Amino acid sequence: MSTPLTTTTVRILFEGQELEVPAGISVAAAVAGYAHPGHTCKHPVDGSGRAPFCFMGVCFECLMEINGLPDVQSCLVTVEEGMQVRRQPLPESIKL
Amino acid sequence: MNRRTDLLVIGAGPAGLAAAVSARDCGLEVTLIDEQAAPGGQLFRNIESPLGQQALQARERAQGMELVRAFRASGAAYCPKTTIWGLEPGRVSCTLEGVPATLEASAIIVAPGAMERPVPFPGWTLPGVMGAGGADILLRSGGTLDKDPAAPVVLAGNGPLLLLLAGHLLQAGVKIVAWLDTGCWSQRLRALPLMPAAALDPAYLNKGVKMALQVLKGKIPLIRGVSDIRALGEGQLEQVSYRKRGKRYLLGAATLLRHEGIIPRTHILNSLRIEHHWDRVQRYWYPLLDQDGATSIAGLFLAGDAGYVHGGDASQLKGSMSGVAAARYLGVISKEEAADRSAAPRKQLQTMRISRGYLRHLFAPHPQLFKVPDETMVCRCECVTAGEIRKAVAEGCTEVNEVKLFSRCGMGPCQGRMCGPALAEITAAACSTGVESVGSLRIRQPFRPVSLENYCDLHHPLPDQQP
Amino acid sequence: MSTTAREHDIIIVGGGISGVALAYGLADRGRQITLLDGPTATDKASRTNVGLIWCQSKFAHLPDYASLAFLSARLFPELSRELSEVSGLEIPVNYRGGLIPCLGEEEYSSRADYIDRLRQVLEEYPGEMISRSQLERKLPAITFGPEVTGAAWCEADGIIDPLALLRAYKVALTRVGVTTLKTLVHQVEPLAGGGYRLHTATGPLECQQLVLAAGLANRRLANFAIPDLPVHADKGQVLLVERLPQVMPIPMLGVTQTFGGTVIIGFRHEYVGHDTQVVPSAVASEGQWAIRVWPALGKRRLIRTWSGLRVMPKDSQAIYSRLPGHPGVTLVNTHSAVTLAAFHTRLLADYLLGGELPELARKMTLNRFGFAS
Repeated sequence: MSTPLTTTTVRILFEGQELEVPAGISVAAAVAGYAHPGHTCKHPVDGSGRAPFCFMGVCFECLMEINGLPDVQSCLVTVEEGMQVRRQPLPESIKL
Repeated sequence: MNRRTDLLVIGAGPAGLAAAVSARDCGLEVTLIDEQAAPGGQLFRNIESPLGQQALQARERAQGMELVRAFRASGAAYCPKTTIWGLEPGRVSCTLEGVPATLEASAIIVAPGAMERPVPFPGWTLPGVMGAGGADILLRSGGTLDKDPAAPVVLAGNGPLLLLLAGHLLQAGVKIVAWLDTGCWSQRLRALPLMPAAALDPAYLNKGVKMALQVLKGKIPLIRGVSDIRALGEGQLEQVSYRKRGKRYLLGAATLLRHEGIIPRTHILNSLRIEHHWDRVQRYWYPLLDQDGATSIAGLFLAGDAGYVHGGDASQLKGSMSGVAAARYLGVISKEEAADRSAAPRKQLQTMRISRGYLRHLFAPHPQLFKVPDETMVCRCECVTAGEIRKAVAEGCTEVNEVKLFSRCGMGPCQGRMCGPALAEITAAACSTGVESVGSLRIRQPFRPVSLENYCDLHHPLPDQQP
Repeated sequence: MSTTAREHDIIIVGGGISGVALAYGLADRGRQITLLDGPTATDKASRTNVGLIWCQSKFAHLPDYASLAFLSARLFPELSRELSEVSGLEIPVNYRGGLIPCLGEEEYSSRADYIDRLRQVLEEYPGEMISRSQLERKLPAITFGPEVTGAAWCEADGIIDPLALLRAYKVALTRVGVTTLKTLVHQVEPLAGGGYRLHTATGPLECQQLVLAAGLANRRLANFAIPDLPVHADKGQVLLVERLPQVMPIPMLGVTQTFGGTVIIGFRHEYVGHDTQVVPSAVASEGQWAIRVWPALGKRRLIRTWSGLRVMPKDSQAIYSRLPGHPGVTLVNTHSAVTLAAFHTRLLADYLLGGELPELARKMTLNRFGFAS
């Protein structure tokens, strides 16, 4: 089941940049707190840049692509070794 | 893990953990599910790691560590990283470590906790603007607010969490260039007559005083009587502007953290049409519950700050009581035993509520808080402005669900979690009436998005109909 | 309750699509029109609607009703332009036709048979069956599931943003002198000397002529004349999938992309009274059908489910009728309020003012249920 948090770290990739972050934290916290990327998503309605706001699953501003899957609420996902994280892709690129 | 159990607890914050522990104590089979990877909720987030521990004062840290230890030892089944998106009486639909699942239980205790009151203002969608709670989570994750840890930070708002956050930021060596106080002094004065009761709970008072002293020592420039805060910048926060005594001021800032108090998370109970009441001082909806957290649906309980915000230690007591009440509901313990088990926490909770009565007024949101300019984006999901809400009202809408339909405010994936309070306040102001009479957004399941195929696979479909 | 009732000329009860469409049609007739709209908490079929303007593949057994839909669709473009102008609001609308996807050969051929029948009874029918590859050419951005064999296609269909339409009507009403009152009508009382008194949540109102367009509430409001109006609640349940890029230039029945980009899935009809509980297994069956039609949808996120009650006359056909014994009361009930809105606005005013029904609607009175008018 779950592993208690320790100070061990994991490495994830954000837009190809390697980040070493504490194990057990959320992807949103890892990206916002360690990569400082500015925006992590362009809003599909007005095109403005957005970034994680609440970090606790309320606001839906932290949507990112995690391991190839878009639209993930990254504040609800725990970092894992080797995880590939990208900014939320524009909706036009979704294959339907 | 059993898919069918006596008691399902939703949420691993102080209330959920205490509920699981007390229900296990009464001999129930208990499963606890939670969104996070580790127990603790928001208050005790990451408490099993040094990162989370150092964010708390000694007394709270000890309390949290003891609670989590008791939970781990309780024998309750624990499902972290589990997102719940559906709840019917006796049954929960969720995504359990990435796999959709249905869990059944004879009783359910919902403990979703509280969230920051979302207050829109011009520019609040800019990267660099965050809720104070969000920033606190960032710090507890070992991260920094900006690439340059010394980049200027502005705090704004009114509420206990801001005090706590300021302490954490000072500890982390962050440069806070201003604290913009948006509180209302005439309301704060109403707290005065209630303050002597604070002496009933000296440890809590001590904690508050300690936090305040820490902030004073940090010499944060405190600017009182602030209104009309705006975040400015091209694609990123660059400046914060505000008004004080009719004059506008400008500050350079890389980060703006706003906090306007804590409100219950009511989505789950709202979707089940449980009756809610309006608190006219704290300005939020809270569900109608009995003293043990029982809702009007048999076997469904609510524990903790989601019922009314009294704070973490109060939530723990409420959790204990609801765990006992669930055991009584299932007939596992007698009425007398239930009364016996609940007596101590009930008494403690009562003292707490009396001793903290002043907080309700001290940190009451400013009545003009939602008087934002027309161009302010209220609904972040659908990009709906305050002006569009006011326009819908001018056309004759008098109820929030009606305004939602004609303006799209609240129609996005967050289901009005971020815009609901502002939508109600702006609608009420435009209708020249109280928030109680414009209603609250009707919440639909799923509470959180779930892939269509996961949803359909889980709910065995009825025989086909065709369009 | 106060006994001084305000006197009105014509009162229309119901602020849904039917009520506003009728009120707008009456606006330039020199009469004083008052529209009564109930609170949000009441059943509001107009607000749980996809907005299809739908003519094709229905009512082969009721050719007049089928023709009425085609007629109304032809009146729509000019009406929506006018409403936009008068209200100053944009109404997203698309008149590029409509599609009904078919799964498997059997479904395809039975749909084809039905359309043949319609062609016979209607003489003229602007639609046909199209093959899978023709369907793919019409909706090139969608990859259809392997079971999709083709579709029924009709150029007369379309889709309109139903909330924008309702909103535009409401705003337009204020510009053409119709008064809208927000109140709930509890009861209608015929007055001895002619006219009617409406007991409402905000006090009594009196009028000479009354139009009941209150959907399911018509059953309650008309019961002074008809104890059992043959109109019932037909429950629909829908799923809403998150916003996608615009890939459906032509709407499909059952799985329809909205102007906002979200996709609404739903087609069930259930007769369960006023129950509006969403049944997960019921919506799941709709979702599974949609995934068979459009597999990529399965990976997209479901963000809401909800249900609503259609207003369904017993034989599915609209009711336009005077109430038996009450020539001053006209009753309108239809489950195609969006499609027929243009007809209601443009061609029903004379009837509401005491004249004759248009030719096509002559047989749509309550007489068909055995009530004498």
